[in-house]
Amino acid sequence: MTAYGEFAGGRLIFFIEGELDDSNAAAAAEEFDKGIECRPREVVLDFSRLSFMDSTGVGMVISRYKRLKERGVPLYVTGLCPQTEKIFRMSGLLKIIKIV
Amino acid sequence: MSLQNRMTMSVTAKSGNEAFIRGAAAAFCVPLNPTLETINDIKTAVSEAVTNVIVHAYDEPEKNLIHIEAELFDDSLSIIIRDDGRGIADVGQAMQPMYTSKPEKERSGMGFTFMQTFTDELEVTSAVGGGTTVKMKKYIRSR
Ligand SMILES: Nc1ncnc2c1ncn2[C@@H]1O[C@H](COP(=O)(O)OP(=O)(O)O)[C@@H](O)[C@H]1O
Ligand SMILES: [Mg+2]
Repeated sequence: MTAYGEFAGGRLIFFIEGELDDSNAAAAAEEFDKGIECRPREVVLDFSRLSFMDSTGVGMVISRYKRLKERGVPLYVTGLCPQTEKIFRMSGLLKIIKIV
Repeated sequence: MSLQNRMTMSVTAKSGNEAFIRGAAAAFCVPLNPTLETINDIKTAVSEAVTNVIVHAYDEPEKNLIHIEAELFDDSLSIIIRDDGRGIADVGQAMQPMYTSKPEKERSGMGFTFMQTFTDELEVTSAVGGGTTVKMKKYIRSR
């Protein structure tokens, strides 16, 4: 798993690559929380190189979504593969985080 | 429904082994030529059961084991993921969608729900102090 953010024009694009699970979700979350210190006006999760996630990743994403929501910052997702799309759909994440 | 293959292994309960175990379960099914969706469903369900052992079962997970027993039939996988840990007092409550005993750890409580939706049969038996056994069956769609 590799996680990193790219900040440009007020937007943070946050990439998580590889497989996201309980062995690395805390590291990804820490990197994300560092990324949003630059006060983006919106955040996009780019999962186009993420091939696997499970419910640990769901918990991590929901927590980030809630924190951003408190600050009025919208969170989007892009590049879901069939596996991560199914996780987003089954968990209800797709109802709160729009695909762009 | 004839038995094609069997596998038993016990692996250290540390999170670094999650990818290995779900990968091994997926590879075990390859002779049946499963669709990518079936492979992903198996990886997800196994990942959930294994993660639960590592996160919930033991005080010192890295000093304990996850036990895996798998049987491959001509149409399905049967897999048992077992621990000798603390057990679950109320299995019904634990299996509720979004129930987690560790909300402070940012857990979603969706693990059992995923095991249920991504497999065809799920059976959870547990005794306080006597460990937890998760048995799943998945019919394999071939390509
Ligand atoms: N192997 C286990 N040993 C002890 N407790 C468990 C085990 N598996 C699950 N649990 C309990 O069941 C609850 C629900 O599990 P799950 O649906 O996977 O959600 P989560 O892992 O996000 O908490 C856990 O919070 C835990 O209290
Ligand atoms: Mg779980």
